[in-house]
Amino acid sequence: MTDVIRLEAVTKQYDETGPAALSGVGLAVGAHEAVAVMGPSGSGKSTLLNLIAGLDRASSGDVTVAGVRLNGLSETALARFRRQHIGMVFQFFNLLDDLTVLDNVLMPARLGGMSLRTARTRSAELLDYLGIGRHADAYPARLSGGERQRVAIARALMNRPPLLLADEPTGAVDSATGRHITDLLAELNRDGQALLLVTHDERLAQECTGRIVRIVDGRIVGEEATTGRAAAAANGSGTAPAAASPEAAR
Amino acid sequence: MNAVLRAAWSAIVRRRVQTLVTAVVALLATATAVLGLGLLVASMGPFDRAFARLNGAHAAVSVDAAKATPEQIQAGAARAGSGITAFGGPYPSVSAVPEPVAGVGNGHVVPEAVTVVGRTSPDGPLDELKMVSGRWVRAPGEIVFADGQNGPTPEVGTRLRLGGVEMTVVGTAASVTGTAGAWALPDQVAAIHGADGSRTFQVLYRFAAADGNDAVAAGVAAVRAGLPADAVLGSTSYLEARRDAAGVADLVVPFVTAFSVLGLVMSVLIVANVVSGSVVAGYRGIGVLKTLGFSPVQVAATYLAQVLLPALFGAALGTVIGQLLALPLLADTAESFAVPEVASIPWWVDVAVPLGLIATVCVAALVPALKAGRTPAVQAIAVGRAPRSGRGFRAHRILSRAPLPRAVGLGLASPFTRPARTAMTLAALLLGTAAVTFAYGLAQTLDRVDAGLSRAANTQVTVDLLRPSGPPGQNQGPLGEGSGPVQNQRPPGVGGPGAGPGGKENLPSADPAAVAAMLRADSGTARFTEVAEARATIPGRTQGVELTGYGTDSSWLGYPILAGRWFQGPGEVVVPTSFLRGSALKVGDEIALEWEGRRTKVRIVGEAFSSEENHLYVDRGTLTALDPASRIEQYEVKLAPGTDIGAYIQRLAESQVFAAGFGGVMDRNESSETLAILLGLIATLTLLLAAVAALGVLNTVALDTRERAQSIGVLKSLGMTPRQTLVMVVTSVTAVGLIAGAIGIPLGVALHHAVAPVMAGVAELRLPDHMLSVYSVPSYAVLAVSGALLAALGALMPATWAAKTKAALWRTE
Repeated sequence: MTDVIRLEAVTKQYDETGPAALSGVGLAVGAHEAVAVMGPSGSGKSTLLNLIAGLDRASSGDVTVAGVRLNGLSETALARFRRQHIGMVFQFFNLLDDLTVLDNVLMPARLGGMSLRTARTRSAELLDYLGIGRHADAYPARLSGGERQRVAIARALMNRPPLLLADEPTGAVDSATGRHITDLLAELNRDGQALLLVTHDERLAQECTGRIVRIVDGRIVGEEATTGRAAAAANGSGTAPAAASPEAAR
Repeated sequence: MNAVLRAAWSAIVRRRVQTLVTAVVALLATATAVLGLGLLVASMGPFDRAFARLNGAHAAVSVDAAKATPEQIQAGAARAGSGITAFGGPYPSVSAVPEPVAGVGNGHVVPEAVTVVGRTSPDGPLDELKMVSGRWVRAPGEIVFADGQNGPTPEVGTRLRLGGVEMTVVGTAASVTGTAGAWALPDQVAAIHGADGSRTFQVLYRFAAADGNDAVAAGVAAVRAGLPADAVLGSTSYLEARRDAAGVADLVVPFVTAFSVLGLVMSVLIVANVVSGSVVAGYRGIGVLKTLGFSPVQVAATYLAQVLLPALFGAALGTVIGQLLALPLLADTAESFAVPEVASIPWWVDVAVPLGLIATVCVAALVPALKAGRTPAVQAIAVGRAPRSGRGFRAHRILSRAPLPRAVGLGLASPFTRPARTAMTLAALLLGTAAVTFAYGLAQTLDRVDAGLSRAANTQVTVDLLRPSGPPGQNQGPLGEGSGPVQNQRPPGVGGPGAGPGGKENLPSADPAAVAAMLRADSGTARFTEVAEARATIPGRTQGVELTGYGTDSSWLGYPILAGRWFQGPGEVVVPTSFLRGSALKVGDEIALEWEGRRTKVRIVGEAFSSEENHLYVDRGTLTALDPASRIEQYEVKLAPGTDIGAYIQRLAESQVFAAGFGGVMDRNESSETLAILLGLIATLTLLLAAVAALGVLNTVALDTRERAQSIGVLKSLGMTPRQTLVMVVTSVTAVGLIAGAIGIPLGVALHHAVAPVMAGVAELRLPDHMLSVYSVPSYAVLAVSGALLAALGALMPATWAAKTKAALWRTE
């Protein structure tokens, strides 16, 4: 299986005199794999996510994502890389409040120059699949937390990225909504979407991913396989309805 | 340092862009205001003070003694409802040409033609004379000359002859309005006249209203109405002397004032934007301050201090810069007559302008500062933490569907999110565009004025027939001043016994016929005409006039005609606007020209656009009738299309006609020093105001970018490239700039149409239409872009900052 993420001896130091945020981290994530990164606050989870998303640069070591080595890329090339290869979901949704749901979802495609007609077709499929099609013309402020997170997921999937990064995706929603988001992410992974999840939520990690990487003080201190649905999916059980899934829409 | 100042200081240090913008805007606004107000006060101050102290006369009127008696003159002045508030005289007066006494005056300076007025005392109800040197006249044969007027002032002790009467200069005196060239006892004036001389009286008047040319002309008309018909021979207005005293500074006041007003309004808008932006951006900080125990007044004071400290710094520096900018202009301002002080910006301007600006800044900052003070702590913290949700949803929706690159669409929709801020930025840009439009128009007008005055489009070459004089000193004859034939000139035909080789009338000349033949033979010559010059006096005018006589077919010379037409033959004269204004005459009136006992009447047939004050244009026949000794001094040449002017001049200069060193050939297309000063000042002020507008934009975009940090971070995480970020941020204000251009251009044009004629009026010029209608369609197009360009320039720095910042940093905002 080709790795969608490959980190080799990655170190990130924000301050020359301070401690390293990440130190000698090595990590490989397979093309259709779902992995959770867990650790206490300040352990380096977000830094790891930033490096993989091309939002920041490693001080040393190699970061290769979707076959692209990020170390030497310019800011413009990194932006294009994110547009093509990365979908991101944030704890606080980070939707653009001035734009409608539809325009939020269309944004990555429009930035990439996709025609409006094609982009609208794709976004309509995604919104329907995620059950928020009726809110296409609404503004994010009018939606519930769960609905907003679904919009964020739709936006993240818009350009069919090989890797979905999720930073505490259930951190800002109630537990019922959290369960729905968990189910959705697990379902996406079952359809083949590679997923890297940063979370404090053990249950989310167990149910959505097949592997948990534990990180403390910038170092990976352990890895363990999960027993949840994603692990089962990785073993070949359970699929989302083919016609409705984003994979089918590809 | 108390808590308020400490909090304000930390905000000043933290918000460096806003601090810089406030300081620079205050600096630029103060500098332009000090310059404008300072010049306005300083250029007129000395004259006005002297005029008041010495009871200056609003008009000096010359009355024909044969037609009005002193009693009639006094009765006319005392008429009820005439508007005359005071009068002096009548004093006998005469125009004469002083001649040095042979063997005595050598080395002494003798002025050109002067009007001698008979007065028994330097004091009087009007126009008190101030002795500059020597003493007042006590006996026959003594004369006092006006100091610094009408050419060189003879020294005390100089002996000269006036109308055959030998006189000694016993003193020099100053008249604030220059009512005469010299004074003697009244009996002496009669002696200078001689038995056959025409007798005139000088009467000085003050009017109830004398604010401008029209008011003075109305006063003179009232004088005329109170005297027998045709008794008034002419008049001189005090405004002429007032304008001369002001120099270039007077000329720049109208447009510097316009720039100052624009600058002040822009600074108010920008400061209001800075403070309200700081309040919006600092809601959380406000909440924290309140939880620490700051009262509403202390919070408001903190926000006021944030702008007042940099504004104070900027205003102080701006005052110094305004003074420095004024220095070269005031250096040109002539000292007023009888006033020893040099024109300078009074101290109260240096105090009033910065204080006024600070007060304006306070008012602009007060509303948002009070808003900050009134906001409850919990609400401030809550608002500060909440994601910014602005307005402009509809704009975003429409533009997201428009066939535009997404970054452009996002940028275009951005101004709708904060309409009040956008409106203030729009206003600042609008005024910036108006300033650029105004400056462009002014520069164009000045350029056309220069072209109109130089007539370089019609006559490209002047051929001088007289041998050029040598370096300074070599050519000084008994007249003792100047180095060139023009400066050294005496009226032709009045050389007198003391007139040496320095007089123009004695300069060797090339053969006019030979030069004319040469010009005619050259294929580069399209047309040419001869030029002769002479001096004359006009009854009622203290100063003589210069007459320029052209060939009859000279209408092609290119003098822009404002009223009437060019002369068509003898008996007609074309005069500049300044002559009409200074003498309260109009086209169609008849005037008398006098020289050495000869008198000829000419009708004013045209008003020419010319800065040559006291210069009248006549047919050469008129000139010859007045001064038979006048001779051709120059030829003015219009070149055939396509002629290389350099080669043409070279060809003529090398011809045999000039081989003996006679005359020379000149390219007429020389630039004016005054024009260069004005254009330089306009360019400087435009740059300053454009910089203010751009700083306003910089502040707005910096605030917007900071507020939208999270959105920009999200967009970057979605794949927005640095270039797209740059485009988005710059586009967010360029559309506003385009709208500002569309509104600012008409404003600038209106300002230009209001200010340019005022400036022309100051220079005693009246602008023809083509000098005022300077805006073409292409220029409108370029100016329309200027607003967007200013906006883009102002946005570039924060846009670049937004584009270059790593996406990971945005995520932490």
